[in-house]
Amino acid sequence: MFLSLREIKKSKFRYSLICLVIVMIAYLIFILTALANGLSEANRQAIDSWNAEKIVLNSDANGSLDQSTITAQQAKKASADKRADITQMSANVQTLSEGNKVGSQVIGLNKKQFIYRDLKIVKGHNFTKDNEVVVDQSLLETDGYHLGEKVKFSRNGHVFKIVGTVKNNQLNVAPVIYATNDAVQTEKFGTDMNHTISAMIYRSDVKKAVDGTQIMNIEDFIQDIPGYSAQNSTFEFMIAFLLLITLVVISIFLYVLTMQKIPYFAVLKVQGVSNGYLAMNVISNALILSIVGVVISGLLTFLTAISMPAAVPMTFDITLMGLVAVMVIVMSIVGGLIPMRTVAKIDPAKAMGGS
Amino acid sequence: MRKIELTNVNKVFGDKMATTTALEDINFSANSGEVIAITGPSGSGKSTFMKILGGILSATSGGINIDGSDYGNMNKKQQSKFRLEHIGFILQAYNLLPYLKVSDQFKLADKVKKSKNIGTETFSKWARALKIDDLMNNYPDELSGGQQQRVAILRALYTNPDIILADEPTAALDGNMAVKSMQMLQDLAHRENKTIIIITHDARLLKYVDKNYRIVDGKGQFIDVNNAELV
Repeated sequence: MFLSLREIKKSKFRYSLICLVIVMIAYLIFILTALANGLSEANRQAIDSWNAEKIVLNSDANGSLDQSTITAQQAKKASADKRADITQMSANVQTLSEGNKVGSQVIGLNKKQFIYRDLKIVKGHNFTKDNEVVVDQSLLETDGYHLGEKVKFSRNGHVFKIVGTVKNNQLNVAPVIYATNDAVQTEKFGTDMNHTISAMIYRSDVKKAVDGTQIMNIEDFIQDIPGYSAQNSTFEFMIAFLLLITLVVISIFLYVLTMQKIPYFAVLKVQGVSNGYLAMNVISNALILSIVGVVISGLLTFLTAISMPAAVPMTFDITLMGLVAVMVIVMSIVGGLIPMRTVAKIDPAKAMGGS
Repeated sequence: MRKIELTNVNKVFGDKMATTTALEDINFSANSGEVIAITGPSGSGKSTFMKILGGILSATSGGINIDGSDYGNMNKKQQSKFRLEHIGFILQAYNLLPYLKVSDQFKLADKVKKSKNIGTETFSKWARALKIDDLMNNYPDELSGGQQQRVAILRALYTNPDIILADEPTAALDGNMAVKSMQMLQDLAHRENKTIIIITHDARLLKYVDKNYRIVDGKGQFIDVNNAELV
């Protein structure tokens, strides 16, 4: 560390340029991580908020909530222990003047069951009537809706009043609107509704599936959300590739710097300085550069986070960012190990001229 | 007391196809408290001799004994540790680290060898004698060649080695400073029983050495120290 700090102090410009490259790569990794995290959450926030263990869908639905219907008879035969019935409908919410259309996920709930009871209302109150809805706060923050506003889901649909909001409640990257099961069923199937629901959510283990239904773990169900796994894999690949680029860039820079320092390392070897001390010097360089780079890019990421509009699906999770920062630093240290062989092979005789 | 002993040392460079004999049957010894000059024409093998003596190069054959230890047969790591503890080098090209201020060149020595370095008082005294005491906050590229050479001399002495190997230590110094530096090294050897071996082409320095070991075409012998013509 002694040599590294002084070397960096003496060659500020050279090391600043290297650090700048690390800052840019680390910043890109942080932003991509936040975007990956944000999009992932936007797909699953609502489901996570239910704190459920299992979901029962129609066996022909292939894991898709949108395709699933559970009849009243099937629901009656199924276990009622820690169960919440939901009716899902994808619809555009709009104002009464048919403006401000926003794609949304409408979820019908039973007022006697746990999802309804556990809704964390941040503004207003929970819905109590069939013509009331609770909406994800993003509809108010980014889409211009307001508490008390009357909305509808189709040209001829019923009118609903926004009575409350919940935070972080999106599904399939669309805001969730909670209403009563009856109201959603009426909207979805018309006035001759037959109490058909979309799925049964359980906070307990379900052993036996009723005929025509399938039981899924909630995590498996989330993985089957259309596009969810592919999107996550894409981001994971990009982040892994960027970490690999960090490793390569650091290795190349440190290798070139080490090559430039061979005459000085040779002198130190003549004086009896061990390979271990010189190796630590190279690793210290990598450590200092990566820590400074990560801290600066962390600050840039923080500035980005506070200036980013709410509509951009980015979630800055401190733990996840910390993990990414540690990985960048670890990659840098691994990069610092690459020139070790060169250090070990430096011939001290090079420091001594003559015949 | 016998400090260094080289017995029948040979050094041959090259492979089976083409070989060059750099040193041939070298027998050399140095006692504690002696200053020995290594002289000889360019290309005669002086630097090879110094490298082998310092453990920087391996001899092709022969024995190297330092302070009772079979230095020639130690592995690289053991030799490196031995050098750190017992041998100080003053190199031809000064070779100060360009990114360390003068004061840090010595602090680095403290980092790699944590004990038995010279004390603050001795350091200040020698720094004053070499006229580098007011250069401590300068980087090497801010110093003249002579100033760098003097820093290199003090750096070699800083770890308080028993043996000092110097390759043209006064080449960049003006007459007065060269003499002063040699007097200092001679005084150090005699007073503190150190062994100092100096490669030199400077005949003026011979009056400050106790022996002159001359190498010609890889063969060495001790000669009259007053025979300056042979330098």
